[in-house]
Parts: sequence; C-alpha cells; structure tokens
Amino acid sequence: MTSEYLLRMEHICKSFGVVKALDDVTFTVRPGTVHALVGENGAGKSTLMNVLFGIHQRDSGEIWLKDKTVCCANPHDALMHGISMVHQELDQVSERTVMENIWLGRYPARLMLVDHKKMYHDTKKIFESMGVDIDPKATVKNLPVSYRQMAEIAKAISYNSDIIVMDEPTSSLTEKEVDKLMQLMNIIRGQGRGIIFITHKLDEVKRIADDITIMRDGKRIWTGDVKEYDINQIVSLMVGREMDNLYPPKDNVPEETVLEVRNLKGMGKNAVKDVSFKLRKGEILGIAGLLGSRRTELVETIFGLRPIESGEILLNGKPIVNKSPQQAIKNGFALVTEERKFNGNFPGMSVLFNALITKFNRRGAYRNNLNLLSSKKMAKDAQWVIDTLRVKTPGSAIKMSKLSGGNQQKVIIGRWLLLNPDILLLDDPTRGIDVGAKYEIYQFIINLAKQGKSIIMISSDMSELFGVADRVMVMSNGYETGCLDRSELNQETIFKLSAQRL
Amino acid sequence: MQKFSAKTVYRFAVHNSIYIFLFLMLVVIVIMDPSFLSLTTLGIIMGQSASKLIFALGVAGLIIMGGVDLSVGRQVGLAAVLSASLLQAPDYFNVIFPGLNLPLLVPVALAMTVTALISFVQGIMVSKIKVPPFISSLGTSLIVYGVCCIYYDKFAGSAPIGGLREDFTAVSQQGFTVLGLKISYLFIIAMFCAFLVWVIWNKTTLGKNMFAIGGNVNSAKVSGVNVSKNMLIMYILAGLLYGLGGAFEGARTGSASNVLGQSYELDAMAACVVGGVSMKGGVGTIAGVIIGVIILQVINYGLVFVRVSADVQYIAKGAIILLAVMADAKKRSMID
Amino acid sequence: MKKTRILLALLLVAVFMFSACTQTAQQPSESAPPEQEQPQKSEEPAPVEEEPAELPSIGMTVYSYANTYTSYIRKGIQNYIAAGNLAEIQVADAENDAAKQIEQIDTYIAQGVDALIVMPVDTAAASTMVDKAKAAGIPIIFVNKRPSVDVLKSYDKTIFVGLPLVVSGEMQGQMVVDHWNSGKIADRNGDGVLQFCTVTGDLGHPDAEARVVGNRNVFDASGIKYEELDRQVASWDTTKAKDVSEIWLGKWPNDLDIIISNNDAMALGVLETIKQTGIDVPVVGINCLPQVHDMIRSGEYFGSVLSDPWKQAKAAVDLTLNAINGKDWFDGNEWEVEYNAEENSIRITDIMITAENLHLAEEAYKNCT
Repeated sequence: MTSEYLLRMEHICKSFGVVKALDDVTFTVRPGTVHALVGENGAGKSTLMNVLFGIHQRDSGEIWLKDKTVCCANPHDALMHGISMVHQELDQVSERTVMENIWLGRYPARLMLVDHKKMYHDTKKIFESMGVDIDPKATVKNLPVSYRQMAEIAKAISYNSDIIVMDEPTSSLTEKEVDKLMQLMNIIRGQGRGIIFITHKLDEVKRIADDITIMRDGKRIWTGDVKEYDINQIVSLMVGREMDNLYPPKDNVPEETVLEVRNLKGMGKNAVKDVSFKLRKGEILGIAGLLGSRRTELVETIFGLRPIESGEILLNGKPIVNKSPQQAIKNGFALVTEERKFNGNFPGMSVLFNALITKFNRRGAYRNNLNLLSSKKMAKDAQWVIDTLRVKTPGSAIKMSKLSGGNQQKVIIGRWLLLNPDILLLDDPTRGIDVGAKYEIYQFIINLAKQGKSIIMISSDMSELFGVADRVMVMSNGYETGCLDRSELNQETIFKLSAQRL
Repeated sequence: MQKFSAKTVYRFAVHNSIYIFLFLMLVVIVIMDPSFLSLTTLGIIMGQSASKLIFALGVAGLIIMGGVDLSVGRQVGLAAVLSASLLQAPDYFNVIFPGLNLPLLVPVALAMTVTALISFVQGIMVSKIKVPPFISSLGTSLIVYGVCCIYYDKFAGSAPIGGLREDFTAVSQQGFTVLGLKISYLFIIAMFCAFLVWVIWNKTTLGKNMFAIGGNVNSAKVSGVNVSKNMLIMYILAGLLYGLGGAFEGARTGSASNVLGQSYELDAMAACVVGGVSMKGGVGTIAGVIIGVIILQVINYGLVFVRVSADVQYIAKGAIILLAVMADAKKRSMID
Repeated sequence: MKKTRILLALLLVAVFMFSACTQTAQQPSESAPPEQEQPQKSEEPAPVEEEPAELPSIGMTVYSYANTYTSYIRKGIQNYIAAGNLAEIQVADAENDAAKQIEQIDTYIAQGVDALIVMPVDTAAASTMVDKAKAAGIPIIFVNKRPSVDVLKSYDKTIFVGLPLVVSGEMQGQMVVDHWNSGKIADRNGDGVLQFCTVTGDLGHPDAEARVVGNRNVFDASGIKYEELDRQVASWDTTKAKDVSEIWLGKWPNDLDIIISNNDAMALGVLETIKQTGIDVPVVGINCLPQVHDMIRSGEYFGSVLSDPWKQAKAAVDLTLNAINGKDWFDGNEWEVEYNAEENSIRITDIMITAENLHLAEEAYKNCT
C-alpha cells in the first residue's frame, strides 16, 4: 500500500524554556508536490525543520515517513531516511571542488582510492538532469552563490532524497537564476519527490507551490491549496493583521546634492571600474545589478574598506578620502553590510553590545564621571534602538544569535542610527527578512530620508527598488551603466543596463 | 515529567561540569587526607596562584581577541631574570651588579617595560603584518629565550641568581593574617590586577573592542573599530602583566634562572580555557580566569598533598583541560 | 597571503643574520675564553702570537645549556683550553635532544675536527656516536654521563671522565646516614625513624632515577629505619620545588627529618620555603654549586655532593689532546691514578661537602666560572 503522504508530522510540540516554539503543529508533504512553508521570522519554520532533522528533539508529536514512524537522531540520519536540506547559509567546503562537496564523506572508491573519474561523471550526469552547466571540478569559492546553491541541490538529488527542503533558496539569486531554479523544482517534482519550500517571497510561492502552510507564533494557521488565497490574504494570515500594501507611502523630498562620486576606480582585480553618481539630501538612491556587478564593492570602497585607485569623492563639494571605516564614520557615513554573518553581527555577543559597538568608538561616548563606560547610559541607548526599530527581543542582554534575521538586521541598522549619520549605505538590507519586518525597514528608510539623510540602497529585489527608491543606478561588471529616475523605471531597461558590460 | 527532570539534571551537569569535577576531586582528596581542609592549604594555594593569575589575565585578553601567546613563559622568565639580577642583596657572595641599590619599583618597572616592548613587537607582527599569532609568538618565544640565555650566561654566569633583597622577596612571600588565613601581598597585587583588567574589559571602549575583534573581526572593522590599534594596546597590556608577574615569580622562588617560566604559557592558557575563555575568541570573563587558575592550582596542590605521583598528575591535568573544552562545546551546541 | 609570505621570508633572513651575528660574536669567545676575566688575557697575546702553527680543533656538544652544573664543566673546559691556548674548541647545545646531538656530531665530523668531547643527552645513543667517531678515525671523549661499558670498550680512542650516575646518589645517601647516626640530623619527632621527602628531576630522567636509587641503596645497606613520606617531581626547577616543599612543610611540619633534593637548584627552592616558614628542616642536595656555598657555610643548607667540575674538565682536555697527538692516554698527566680499567673511566671521586670542608668545593669551582 502506498501512502498518500511522503511525510506526516503530527501534533509536534517543542519548547525552549518558557517559550513555546512549536505548538501542536501538523505538517504533511504529498509526493510530486511543492509545499510552501511561510511565516514571519520566529514563526517556527526553522524549529519545525530542525525537529524534522533531529537537530532539536521534539517534546511530543509523531513523525511518519511514508508508512514508517521515524525519529531522526541527527541530520545524517535524516539524510539516510531520504530527507535532505539545501541551507540558506551555504555550508560548503569552499576551498574544494564542486564534486568533492557533493560526494563529501562517501567518495566513490576504487581499489581504496578515490575514483575521481566516476565522481566527475556522476556529478556531470546529475547536473545534466538538472539542466545546469557547472564544471564539477570548479573550486566552490570561485562560484557565484547561485551555482553553489545548484551544487547543494545536486547533492540532495545525489542522495536520491524523497524530500528536499529548500530554505530561502532564492534570496541571493537574480531573476534569471530564479527562473532556472523554478524549472529545476518542476523537474524534481516531476520525479515524484516532494519539496518543502521555505521562503518570504510570496510571488514565487504563487508561481511554483501546490500546497501552502502558513505559520505564526509557533502555530499552524492554515494549510491548503495555494490557489485559494491571493498574496495579500496570505500576508494578512502571516502577520495576523491586514496588510494592504507591501510598501509604505513615499513622501520624502530630495534636496541639494551632498555626495558626488566621480569616475571611481578601485584597486585590484575585482574592484569597481568606473562609477560616477550624485546623491542628494533626503534622497534614496537604489543600486541595481546582477551578481558580480560589484555593487557591494562600490559601497565598500566608498566606506573605506577597499582602496581607491583613482577618482574622486566629494562631500558637500569638498573632496574627501575615506581610508578606513573610522574615517568614513567621522565623515558621516554608515554601512549596513550584505552578509550579516560575515561582517555584520557579533552572534555570540549581547543585543546591547551589537547595538552599541559603533558608538563605543566615538570619543567620550557613554562615559561616567570616572571616564568609564556607564551601564545606565548604555542601557538607555540599547533600549532606544529596541524601541525605535521595534526589535522583538526579551531584552538587551540576550545573545544576538537568538534573534531572528529581521530583528538582527534592525539592531544593526540601529547601531548606525545611534551615530546619526548623514549618508547611509545599505547593502541589500532586506535580504532574508520576512514581510512584516521588511515593511518596517522600508518605513525607517523613508523616514530617514524625510529627516534629511541620504541613502544608498543596493537591492536584488527589483520591486523593492521600485517601491522605495527615488532613482536607481544600474551597475554592470564594475561599471555604472545608467541612472534612472523614478518615472523612468521599468524592468526591461534595468535588465538591459545590467547586461551592458557583460 | 521524569524525562524532563533527567534532562534538567543533565543540562545542569554540562553547564557546571567543571565545578562538579572540582568538587568531586576535592571530595576524593579530603577522603584520602582530611587534613587537606585547612586554612594553611587555602593560604598556600592563594599564594601560589597569585603570580599565575597575573600572567593568565594577560594572555586571556589575547585569547579573547582570537589569538594565542606561546611566549608567556619565556617572557616571564626574562622578567624574572632581569629583575632578580638588579635586586640582589649587596652582601650576597655573587652579586652581579655590585653597588647597585635601586628602589624596588625601578627593576620591576624595567622588567615590565621590556616585556611590554616584546609584546608590542609581537602585536605589530600580528595586527599590521598579519602573521598568525601562533607563529609570531612561537618565534618570539624562541628569541626571548635566546636573549634571556645570553643575559643569564654573560652576567650571571649561567648560575641561578640568588640572594634577592628582603624587601623584594617579602612582596611575594610575606603577607598578613586575617582570621588565621595568611594572605600574601602578591595575592593582593594579583587581585588588584584582576580588578583593573575587569575594568578594562567591561568599562572601557578598549574592552568592548577586544570582544568585538574576537567575536567577529570583519564586523568589528565595518563598525569602525581600529583593529590594529586596539590589538596593539591589548598586547602591551599583556606584556606589562607578564613582566609584573614574572618579576614577583622570581621573588617568590627566591632566585631566578633561565629555566623559570618554562611551559607557563600552557598553564596560563589551560587556566583560561578551564575558566571558560573560548579559544575561538570573543568569550571570557575575569571571574572565569580567576576560577580557572585556582582550579589548576588546587589540582596541582591537592594531588601532591595526597601523594599522587607525577605521571598521574599529568593525566589528571590533561583530563580536566579536555573536560573543560568538551563541556564548553557541548554548552554551545545546547544553546544552538 | 602574499604579505605573510614576504614577511616570513624576511623573518627567516633576519633570524639567519641574527644567528650569524651571534656566531661571529661567539666564535672567538667560544674558541677562546668565554667569560669575564679571561678576555684580557687572550686579547693581549693575540697580536703577539702570530705563529701559524695549527691548533688542534675540538668539537664539543653539551646536553643542555640550561643545565647549571654541566655549564661549569663546559666553562672549565673552555677556560683550561684558553689559558694554555691548547686548541680551537667549538661548543654546541644539544638542547636535551639526542637526535640533535647526533646531528651536531655529524656536523663536527664533516667539518673535520680532530676530536669530540661529548656530554651525552642519552647514553643509549653513545654507541652511534662512537661508531661515527670510529669511522672518522677521531677520538671521542665522554664526560659527565657514562655510556655503557661495552660501548666504552668498543673503540680504543674513547674514554669516559666521571662517575656512574648512581654514585652521586649513594654519596648523598651516605651523607644522610652518617649524620643521622652522629645525631647531626635530628630525629624531630623522636620516633627513631628517619622521615624524609625527596624532590626529583624530570620524570624518567636517568640522573634523577639513579640518584633516588643511590639514596635507597645506601639506606638499605646501612640498616637504619627510614620512611619516605613523599616523592615528587620538580623537573630541576627551583619554583616547582618551592611549590612542592610548601605542601610538605604544611603537612608534616614536625615529622620531616630531612628533605633530599636531586640537585642544588631545587634545594634552593626548598630552602626558600624553609626560610619563609621558619620550620628548620635540613636539606641536602647534589652538585654543591657556588650559589649554595654561603648557605652551607652559614649552616642554612646542610650539605651537598661535589663532583669536581674542574678536575673533570682538565681530565677531559688532557686526554683529548693526548689522543689527538697519538700519545698514550696518560702521557704526561696525573690521571692514571684515577683510571678504572674495568669501566674504561677516569673516576673523579665525589666528595660530601658540609660547612667543615667547604673550601674543597670553592677550590673546585674557582676556575670554572
């Protein structure tokens, strides 16, 4: 007898201390379907998956795989039972090749030696079945994120998994790459496998998913056919209130030019080649571009993290040089980086520490009359960040790593607001953040612009740029290829400009 | 419910494993020889921990910044030899520098200056030239030992520098008695150092930056932390502490030779690790360092007290260090 | 990455330059006089004696510079050679590493030295060294630690200067027994049993083990009643010895009759504790280093065992020079008296030193600094 479901998780409960992370959650996956799992950060999606993979032990409830009740002890055990996961944060051995990563721990062997030929051909075959063209011998660290992700999916397929969990697979992909991924998901679905698709991008859910489960505050709110609700209704169910608009009203008014960048060229091979633009007071300048367009490199160069070879940066008409972040900060710049894990947060430190780290280095900040740091003054500022940015946290002493991605991002933005900067460089500030938090962050950005701050916002999400930016500059391969006013914005032009220098 | 309580016990055991281990060990020691429980024991353990605490405080800051320092022992040795050679009693038969009668603080300050300078150079290598701390301190340690041997050979004739001045040895050896507990002056100095370092770690920007660098050096850079400057200052602080501890370690022994300080770096780092300072950086407390030093000293003392032979002592010390690190790792994974 | 590589290269160059500097700085002082007083002597005659007559060259390897006692022998040898301008001598530190010592011997042989003087790290490696010397046809003289007798007899150009390891320990034990019987070491708790603690060198170190065995041999043979309360390793380290003795004096303040130390350096640590606590327990050591002479004189330090470093140094050099010149071992020197054919050794007798005969020790060390 074949089961109707590949996976049934029934009445799962899980608590951490007093917090009920999962409260009687039931979740099922049918063969040959894509089941979207949506909810704000902290809704319990990750915990549910961690229970499935045995990373957390459930307090109660049952898990059935086809007809067998199972209890996966750890991720490897889960893998053996045919469940694999493509992580949001890719955990790969970046110094090794793609194929070595795929077959890690179970290299095909011949005569006790690793059979590289077989490994190569097997990998090639999987990639062909997926319709992607990646060299199995390429070193992982040299590949763009999308390729690395494909490699992870290939790994899941190589285990012949019945169920593949994809955690935010599209968060760092361009539109084209997303299309490709969707095709791939179709192929996998066609093979009778089930996909659990965790995402914040509801248009993608509408596009690909068959079933949907909406979670909020550790509870399952609704499961059913994805066609039954439209995006706005899903959002309302997720956040528990009506959400009419994905973007707040735009009512900032750009004034005179404060920053001018002329023919900026960075040092090194992967640097910015030639970028010029102007930024006005109270303006939000969006930057669009494909992966590898060196948008990140541009803001890092402006912020003094990368050396400049030639070109000028004028602040209020006067040429400045930011040789280090310290200097940039003194000149009134702030940078929210793209990869929180790499150069954004301090996961092991408290929320307070994360909120205040930039201001600590301002002369005389938080000093009491002994010229030492005053706990009272520090607590006050930390509370200000929590209140102003509506950070959901039990307190400022809690470890940063316990917060959801969106809340971490708010703390990081807050750390810069404490310095009252004039120019904010935001590198993909809503990446991997849920809809509710996104909306709030857009609100802050527009409010900041209204207060006369100037903002540069890099984004991979085109609609976000349309919703928030006053102008959009497009970059391609290190060059600035055009700057569009709000009125001229359309996807086609941006795509054309993005590809101009490839 | 039963499962729940068993889990709580396990959790408690993991979180406090190091204290449980210490407690069990004390129980075993006391069963083997009840006279262990005495104020004399406590006084001696405090006296012996004092100088070790001073170096451990120095190296702990470097470990928190994500580094290691293999040169602690040799720097301590150099400081001891230097200060001892300048603080001999004039009537000793083999005075290296006859007629010298410096105020006590001058040679100690000199030793501290020298070690601070050595650590400063190491700091430059690590922070500016990006030499891995393991390598730079390994190299430094060899060079410092070589320099110490040359000094020791040329001036002291390769013979232990003895006959130290009374006022010098008194700091380490003498003290006062409170309710029958003898507390050495050096212990007071060590506690003062601990307090000072606590202030630096918790109440100054330097301390916050130290944790930032250890927690995530890239984030620290973006956040406007001047990584190399802060590292350098922490290195200098460490050097000062090595110098101070080293000078009085010599005074405690009543003589100094180039052997002094050998493998102290391992003791100091082991104490830090046992006290919960993470070798991965970013984590550590002063209370932890103090407890770590004392635990190791209790083991040293207690095992000798119950006449355990040296080979078994090695095993016990190794076991507790591993236990500490494993408990730390387990704790982390529990928090997830 | 690149930066690191450049830096490492620079560091390497710097180290080489540094070692080159010290080498050139050391060469004269190593091959001629090493210490303070001597320089004038050699600097003066240097311009005068222009005789091109080639001095014989000797390669010496010492098991560790960190060892105080053997440093005196090393300096004695250097001083004796320098005073008479008898040879060119190079000295290497084997840093307690037997493999390193073999490498140093290879280097010396490759350099073409005329003879080797070895204070071995590991006497078990001596047969390898003798084979190498034999192949090169040069004499090899062992000092301080005796290799096995078959090795010493396996080559006609080898000989040992010193005593079997166990003798110092026996001598130390004898000193304790003699003074216990004479009542100079008091029975502090009056139970008629000699209670003592022993502080030893490194775990498994041949010297440390031999000294403990030597003590034990004598105690057993003497028929006294004794009890070893504890024995702990202090690895020849003054500080560690102090730590250990603090525990003992805290635990048995009234029972301990004597503390026996494997050497003087550790005895110094014990004496520091005694001074600090005021508990008057006698201490005996081995080596009788100049640092302890004053303490022996004042009675603070009970006594130590002297193995005359100057005699060992002189014997080693005299025999080496004879061997280089193809003469009989004892041609023109006084060492035949001390020769023990059975062991193929020059046995320099150990002496028990207390306040009464301290001058012997002072004499022995006078020329070795």
